Amino acid sequence: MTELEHLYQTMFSSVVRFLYRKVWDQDRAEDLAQEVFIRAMAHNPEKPRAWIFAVAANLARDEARAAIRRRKHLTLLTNDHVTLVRPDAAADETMEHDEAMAQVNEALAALSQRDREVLLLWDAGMSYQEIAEQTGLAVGAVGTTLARARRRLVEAHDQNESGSHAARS
Amino acid sequence: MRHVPEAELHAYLDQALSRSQCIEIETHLAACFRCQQERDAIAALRDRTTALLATAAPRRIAPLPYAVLAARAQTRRQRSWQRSAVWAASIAGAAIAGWGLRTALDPHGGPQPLSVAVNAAVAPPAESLSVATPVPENRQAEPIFLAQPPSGPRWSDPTVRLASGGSRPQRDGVQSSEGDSQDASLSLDDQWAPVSLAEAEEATGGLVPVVPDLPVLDVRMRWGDGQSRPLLIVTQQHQSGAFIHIVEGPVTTVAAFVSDQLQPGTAVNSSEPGRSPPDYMEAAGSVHRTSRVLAVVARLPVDSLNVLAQGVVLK
Repeated sequence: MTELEHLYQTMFSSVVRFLYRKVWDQDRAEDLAQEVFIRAMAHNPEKPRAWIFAVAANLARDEARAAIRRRKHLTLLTNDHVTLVRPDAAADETMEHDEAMAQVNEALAALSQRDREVLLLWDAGMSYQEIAEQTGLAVGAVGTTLARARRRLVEAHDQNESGSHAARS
Repeated sequence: MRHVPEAELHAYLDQALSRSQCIEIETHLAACFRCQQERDAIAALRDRTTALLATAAPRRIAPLPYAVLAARAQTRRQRSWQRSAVWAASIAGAAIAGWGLRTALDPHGGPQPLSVAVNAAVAPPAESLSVATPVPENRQAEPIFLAQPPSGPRWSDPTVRLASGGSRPQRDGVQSSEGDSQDASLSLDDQWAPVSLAEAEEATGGLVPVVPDLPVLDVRMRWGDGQSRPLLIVTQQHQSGAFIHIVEGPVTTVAAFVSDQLQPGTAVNSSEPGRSPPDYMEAAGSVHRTSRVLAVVARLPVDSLNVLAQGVVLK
């Protein structure tokens, strides 16, 4: 098994998760993740882990730009989802999950771009050193950035949640 | 007493610190209640963040088998090479077209042009292949200026240098002549086997490229990867006495071959590449298409070679 194949087996899900939180479309995230690994096969990078996430971030950025150009933003939850009638329990569960995901989405959107990037890279399993190399931060600044990102994510989420409860009541 | 900064506690819990840094922090934590509380709060915040991000995760991820992905990468590489080869051939054709035009327009810059009306001889027959750049209609009525054929014996075209010399045996469908002993190929190696027309037709399924009404002097064949049709070089003699070589095969191979022949100082030109029937090869349960092209190579102006390429038929 080659190094790249090993990375594909162990990292593909992480890359999909990383991309999913940027494009908010599972099929698209998986397509982009496959594209990342196909490119890695062609380039055979020296540091494949860092390279893979760097290319994934670039692809997600291009995807976002294209979406803006097309005026078709990939948002998971729309007003239609909230008003949709779902008679069975599984559908209720899906709706709750979608709503919870939308709240996290909004909380992530409240972070600065750098804080969000560092948080998502850390969640994808990258080390402080790798995050520093990709983002251009000093290794010592990664902890500071992560501390701020975590705090702001939770604060933004709690704020959204309390606003949502207030709206329902 | 110096307390542990928040960022360092995050890094400590994320296991991003060195062993000595960890020991230093743990020593402090054992004696500092405030930092213990801070550590617990950060640990809770960290868990909460992880849980939130887990909520915003795709439900099911089903990666493709790695072999499938590798096959896609391979296909993309092949397409990329094909595109590069076509670009290279096009650029070479454009450069040669410029050189040919300059030669035709500047009678002092090269051999004196000889006015030879070749329209009737090279007019494309009904089944002729289309090429990338057709000659405009009004060019058909005008005589095409060909470079002066080399002086001396009729068969001593300097563009062709046969490796086999006079030892080549007589082959069916390939005309022999007094000059055959001086005929020469395009510096071909041993992989290019001399064959008869009938053998070439059999090997290619009746797809040997020739210009009708011109004598075939030589046919060379080289086998490819086993499934694709062989590469062919058909040498014919033009009315002007010049040898023309029709090269037909997969686009990358033809592009590389033609590029090798177009060395500075040889005065050899090539027509623009024209399409020929592709190969369809079975691999891994699916059929792959490989594009093929043909080009006419000779010591003639590019315009004339393009007209000749238009007249090529497959027999």
